[in-house]
Amino acid sequence: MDDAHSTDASLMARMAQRDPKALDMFYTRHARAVFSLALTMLGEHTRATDLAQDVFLLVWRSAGTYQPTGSARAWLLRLTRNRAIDELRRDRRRLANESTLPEQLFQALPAPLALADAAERQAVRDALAALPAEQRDALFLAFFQGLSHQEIATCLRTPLGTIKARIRRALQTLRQQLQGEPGT
Amino acid sequence: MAAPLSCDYCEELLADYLLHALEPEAVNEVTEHLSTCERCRTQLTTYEAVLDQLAQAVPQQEPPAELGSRLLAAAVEGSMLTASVPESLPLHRRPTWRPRWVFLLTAANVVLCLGMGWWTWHVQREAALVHQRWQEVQRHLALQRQAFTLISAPETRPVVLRSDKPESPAHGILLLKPEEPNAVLIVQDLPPLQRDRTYQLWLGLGGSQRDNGGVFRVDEQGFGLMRITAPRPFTAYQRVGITEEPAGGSPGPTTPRVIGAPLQGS
Repeated sequence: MDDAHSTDASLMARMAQRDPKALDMFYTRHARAVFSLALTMLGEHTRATDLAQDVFLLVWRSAGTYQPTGSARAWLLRLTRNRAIDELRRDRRRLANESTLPEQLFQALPAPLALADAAERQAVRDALAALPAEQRDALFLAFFQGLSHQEIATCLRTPLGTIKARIRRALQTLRQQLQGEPGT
Repeated sequence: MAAPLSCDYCEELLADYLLHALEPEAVNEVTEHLSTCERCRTQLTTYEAVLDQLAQAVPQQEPPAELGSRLLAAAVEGSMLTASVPESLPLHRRPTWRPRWVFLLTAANVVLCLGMGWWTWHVQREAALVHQRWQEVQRHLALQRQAFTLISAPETRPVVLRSDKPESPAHGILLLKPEEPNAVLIVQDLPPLQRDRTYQLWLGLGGSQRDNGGVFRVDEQGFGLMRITAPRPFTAYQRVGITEEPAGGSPGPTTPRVIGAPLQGS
């Protein structure tokens, strides 16, 4: 089987055997998605590039421990998001004071406006567009900026319980819209 | 010891669990519950799928062309270090030719001195770059602070600027107080320009009369932010538009507008 037709799991297995061609193929297949998510979350080209490299290097180094239990792309993006959140939280700890939080919030909000411009992402775009704005904003701040619920509550000057409920409702609605949950 | 979670309560916590928004103690409780509850594990999977879709729905951007080769070089280098270091250090190697050993030591000293000089120069250069970057960040933060103040003001009016071409993703928002000449412009998805080009904001009066609203550039992602001090209050203007112009700006627009919006009623 040539590289182009290899499954992600077989590429991971070859990476565990230190086959650079497998890494090259895996990178070619997923680099765009990883870089795009990193860029959306970090907002800086250089940082997103470094983070993408870190993620693929981590995959390369720990390929031997990979357990194929679902889509490798989804797993890779979870890894990317976790690393980006670590960075964002480090930034916030460095800048932690009352006056900077609203600025970060302000910086965070434009990203959702540009979300999902490709045709194949239409369903996600529609589902997001249908969410009430306050739910969408809270979900974006939690998901793409890694803000804790307490930080979102402080930024939006909204009670913590309300923020939790908004995020939960947003996810429930998205789940219903995207997965056609029975009874909806 | 805390009582085990009920399924209803666990399901309530699942979204927070996936968003890493739970306290460590609650994370442990949910993890423990999930290890024994098939139903909640299924619920978790469905939420996980939604978040996965969200992660894949971001605007897609090509990574820099050199990233692939950089990654491969780092991976191969890392592998060689791990694999070859033990082999490259023979256990019983002894110096066999003393004059060569002395020569190598001298050469190493010269390299070290040169290296120290280079390192000092490099650190000084880095410090200057960091200082410059810090000043840029401060300027940017001041601008954002003003934008946030404007957003929070009850009398602020947002004006959305769009392209005349429906397929263009370029858009912007102008935050203004109609009775005042100050405003903040935020744009997204405008094509980045060459060094000798710039974007220019036009504030249209009646007919073909217009004021210059200022020039700005956008970053690699097409994002830009500009503070505006117009020659008159915004009630005087009927429309706004942005065009691409030579660096430094033009006395009047020389290209079709990229995005714009009417201001009537402000």
